[in-house]
Amino acid sequence: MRLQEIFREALDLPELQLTDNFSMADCAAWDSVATVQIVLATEAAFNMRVPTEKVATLHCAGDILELLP
Amino acid sequence: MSAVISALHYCVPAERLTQAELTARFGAGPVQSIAKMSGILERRVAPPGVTAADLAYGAARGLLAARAVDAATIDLLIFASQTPDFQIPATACVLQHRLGLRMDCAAFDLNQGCSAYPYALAVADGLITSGVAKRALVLNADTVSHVIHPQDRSLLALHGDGAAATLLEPAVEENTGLRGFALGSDGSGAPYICMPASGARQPRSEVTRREKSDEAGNVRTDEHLGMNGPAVFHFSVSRMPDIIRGALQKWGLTVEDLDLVLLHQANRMMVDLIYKSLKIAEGKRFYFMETVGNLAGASVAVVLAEAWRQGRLKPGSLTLLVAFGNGLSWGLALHRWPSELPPPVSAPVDYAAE
Repeated sequence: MRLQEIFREALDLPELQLTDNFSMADCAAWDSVATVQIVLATEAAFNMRVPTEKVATLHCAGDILELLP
Repeated sequence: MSAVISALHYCVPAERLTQAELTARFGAGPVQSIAKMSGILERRVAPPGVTAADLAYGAARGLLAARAVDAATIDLLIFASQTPDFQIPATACVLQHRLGLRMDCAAFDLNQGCSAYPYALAVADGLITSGVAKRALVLNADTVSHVIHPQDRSLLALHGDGAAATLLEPAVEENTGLRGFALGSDGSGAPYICMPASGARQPRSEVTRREKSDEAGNVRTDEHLGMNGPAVFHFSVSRMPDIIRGALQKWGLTVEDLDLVLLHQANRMMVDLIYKSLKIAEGKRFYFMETVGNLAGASVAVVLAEAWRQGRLKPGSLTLLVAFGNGLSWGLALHRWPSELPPPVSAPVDYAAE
C-alpha cells in the first residue's frame, strides 16, 4: 500500500491501482523525473537503499517491489 | 608550498534557449516537470561554429586583459573538455598559439566530464609544486548542447555551454591555496552518461546515425550524448555525501570548518539533497544554474567565478569544490583564500567573436 501511495503521488494519479507489471510504457507521466521521485520516496519510506544499477534498469513497479525488505 | 587561484573568469554564449522555446517543441507538462526538479529556466547555448575552445579563448583573453597578465609568463596551459575542436591534435596546442603563449609553455588536453575542474586543478597544482611550471592557465570548457539530439528534451532542458579560465601561481602565504584533493572513479557506471559512437570503440556509420526513442519519447542516435538520468541522479545523491565526508575526515576537517561549499551545478534538487545530507548551513551554499544551465566540465569553475563576482569569497576563508559526472568520476578540491584576496575579474562574460 505504501508503494502504491508513492506511485500515486509521483505520477499525480490519485486513483492508480498499482500492479506488478505497471510500467513506464503504460503511463505518459512516468518519465525520468518521476523515476527519481519514486526511488527516493521508496528509500525514505522503507529505510532502504536501492542499488544504482537497479535504478538504471527500472521499468515497472515489480522492479521496485522485488527490492523491498 | 601549493598553488593558489589568483584570478578566475568565465565566458558564456549570448544566445539563450528559453522555457518558451522548449515548451513549443515538447509541450508544457514535460518541460515544467524537468524545471521543477532542475531549477534550470534558461540555458546559454553556443550557435553553430562557436566551439568550447572559442569560449575558453574568450574567458582566457578576458582574464589576461583584466589582470594585465603578460601572456609570456604563462608556462602551462591545460584545456579540460569533452567537446574539443579535434581528436588530433590537442586543442590546448591550438589555444597556445591563438593566445600568443610562448613555445616552451606545456599545453595539453584533459578529457574529463563534469568532474574536470578538480582534476585540472590537481594536475596544475602538481606541476607547480614540483617546479615544472610557475604560472598555469587552466581552461575548462564544454559545448554539450552541440552533441545533444534536438528532440532529446531530457538533456536539452538541462545543459548550457560555457568556459572558465583559472590562473594559478605558487602561493606566497603559508597554508593558503589548494590544500587537498580527493579524486575517484567508478567505471561500472560508464554507460550511464555516454556518447557511444564518439571514438574508436564504435566507428560512425549508417547504423550509428539511426534515430531511436526511449520510453519517455526522447530521441537520440548513437552519435549523440545519452544519459540514464535516474541512475546518475541516484549515484550523485547516494554516493557523493559519503565521499565528501570521507575526504573531510582524511583532511581532519568537518563541515563546520568550511566557509563555502560549491557543488557541480547539475540540478537544483540534486544539489539541495547533497547539501541537506551533509547539513551544510544555508549561508555556506551557493547556486548558479538557473539562467545558464548545467555547464558540464566548466560548471564548478563557473560557479566559483560567479561566487567571487558576487562577493561570496572572503580573505582567509576555506572553500570546498565538489564535482561529479560521467565516468562515473568525482573530484574534490579544497582551497584557502589568501588574506589579501584579489578583487574578482569583473569583465563582461558574454562571448563576442573577435
